[in-house]
Amino acid sequence: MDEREIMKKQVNPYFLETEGLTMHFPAKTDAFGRPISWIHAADGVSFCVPKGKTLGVVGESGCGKSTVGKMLMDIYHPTGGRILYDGVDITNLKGRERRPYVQKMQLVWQDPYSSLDPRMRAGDIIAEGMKNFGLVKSAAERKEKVEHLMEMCGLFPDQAQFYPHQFSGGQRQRICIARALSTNPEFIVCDEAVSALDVSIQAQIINLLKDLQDELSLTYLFISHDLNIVQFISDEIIVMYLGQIVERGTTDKVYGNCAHPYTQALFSATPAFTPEEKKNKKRILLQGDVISPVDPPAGCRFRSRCPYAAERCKEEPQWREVEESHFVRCHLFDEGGKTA
Amino acid sequence: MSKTKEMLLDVQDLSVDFRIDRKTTLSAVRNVSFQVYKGETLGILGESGCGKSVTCMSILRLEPEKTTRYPSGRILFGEKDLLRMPVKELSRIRGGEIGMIFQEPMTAMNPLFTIGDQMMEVLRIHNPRMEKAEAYERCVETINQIKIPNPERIMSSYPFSLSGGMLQRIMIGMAMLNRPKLLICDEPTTALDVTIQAQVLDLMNGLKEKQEMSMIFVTHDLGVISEMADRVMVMYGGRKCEQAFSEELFSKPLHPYTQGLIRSHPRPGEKRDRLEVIPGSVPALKDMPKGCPFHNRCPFAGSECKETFPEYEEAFPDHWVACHHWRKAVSHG
Repeated sequence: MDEREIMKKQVNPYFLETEGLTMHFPAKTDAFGRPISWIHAADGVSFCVPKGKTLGVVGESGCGKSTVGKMLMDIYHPTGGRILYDGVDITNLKGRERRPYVQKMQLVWQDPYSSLDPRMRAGDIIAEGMKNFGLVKSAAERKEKVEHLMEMCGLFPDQAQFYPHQFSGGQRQRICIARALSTNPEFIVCDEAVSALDVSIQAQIINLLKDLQDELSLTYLFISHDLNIVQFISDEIIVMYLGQIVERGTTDKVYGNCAHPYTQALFSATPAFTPEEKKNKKRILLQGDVISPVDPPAGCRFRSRCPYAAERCKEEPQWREVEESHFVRCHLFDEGGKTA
Repeated sequence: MSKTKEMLLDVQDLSVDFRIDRKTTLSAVRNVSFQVYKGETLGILGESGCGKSVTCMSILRLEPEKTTRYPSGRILFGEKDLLRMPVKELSRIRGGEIGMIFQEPMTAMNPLFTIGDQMMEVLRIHNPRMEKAEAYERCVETINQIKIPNPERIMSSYPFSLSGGMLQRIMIGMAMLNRPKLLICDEPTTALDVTIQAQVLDLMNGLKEKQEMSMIFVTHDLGVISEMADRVMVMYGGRKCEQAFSEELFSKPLHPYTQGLIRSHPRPGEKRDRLEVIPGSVPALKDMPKGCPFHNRCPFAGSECKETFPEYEEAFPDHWVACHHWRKAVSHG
């Protein structure tokens, strides 16, 4: 089945789409500085996010999930593929043409300690984006808007005078969110936005993100390694392994009936803590090592660790439909069987 | 059950203060007591700033000598009190009878020496008369035990050339070299991916059974702790607030903080619009409130919570809680 077809089947209309997004970084160069081997950080990543929904991206470190987020934000320029924003191809837009999309797409980083300038006051951090895009006319209006944003994100307006170090981790992440909202974005990439926070604070920030989504009809790309959090916040999920998407579908389907052996291992490795959950849990321990992302061999990239690996896994697996709006890329589903 | 078992480590009424300057001292841990029995794993659960790391660093007195004070407490390891032991004697125990694993495997290793050098050093410091060849053999054997292929190559490689999961396994192997009676693990898997974490946890459990040692396992991750620990102690604001057998704690939490912590966790396969949250955030050490440190975030707090820290109460057999209102909290939850 063609990847485009799959996506068309999933949802309509899309808001943000990618087609075969690819990012290869040069790994080694020859004597003349020409690259001779490449790190395949992302290989043919295609997905679409419907307006007002959340797409969760799950995977372990090195699977390319952050690279995908950075390509969307034009921090990395993709070496292949297209990004469509509301139907417009923005992949190669530069400078003035790109600016309106920069304003509409914002990013919340993982680490609220290093993503805020320690020498700027919270209010100035939040106001910077507005000033840059000329969204406010006067200082008074700016102040009002900053205060409004701070309140919306659960901060006190009089904290605008404080420096980042005077806030706690959770509050700093609220500043980051307020800063992202300051340019009136439609689309926000949350790159591990709650991973650095304490458990009790994580819940607060996730609730805040959900409330803001309802209020401002925002669209999220939520990147995280924490499966429980992703399932809570996302409508749809893609699972990545070594730069490729291996499974995709609506959250309920992927979580209820995970198909790819990697997804199964990932789910089983997440420790449960209530006794009844622990009882229903089967552990799948993966053996073997991760293939190097430098010029990976053809075929399924998970085969070095897969308990079901066979000869046919040396060929590239195709997308197969497991059930309605749930797709997997694994040879186990070649005959339409659901053996795994 | 645990009372009949042999006690290995007995921490009594431990308090730890840090001197910042002449006028200010911050107290990071206050009046914490716990026991570790032979062959069991004690989990310490808490968020950042709750004193869990300070507690386990204090067992080996690894906090800076100059600025750390222990206003009260004893740490009995066998007959001896680790808090008052001369440093020379203590350093024989560090890495010997009591091993320790830290959170960041990358920073815990010296980048300038090979894995082999660093592993053999651990052995030869504690057994000065051991031949180099014998130490080498022991290290290779250990690397085999922690299921890393090609031990000879690993011995001669430098830390940067190994992945985080492999390094953490090496750290575990290193801590195991001297067959410790007690292994203190401070967030050993926090920096690792979940599938790697599962491997490491599995390995630790296997080694623990084989060598019949006890463990103190510190983490903020509820899932990991319920997997690893027999008993769990929950800390908040430098105090112990609840302690019970792992299964009981997660099915029947008594302290409002433990309850909040468990509820604020998204669960697999569960449909909720919002997560329940604990309002506010953990207070900084210097503004730790009087009385129960949790009172300003607690839904059940009354006036007495602001004044006095509650007594430890054995609510159910082997289930201890420090809360004035745990009965109310239980009937509400």
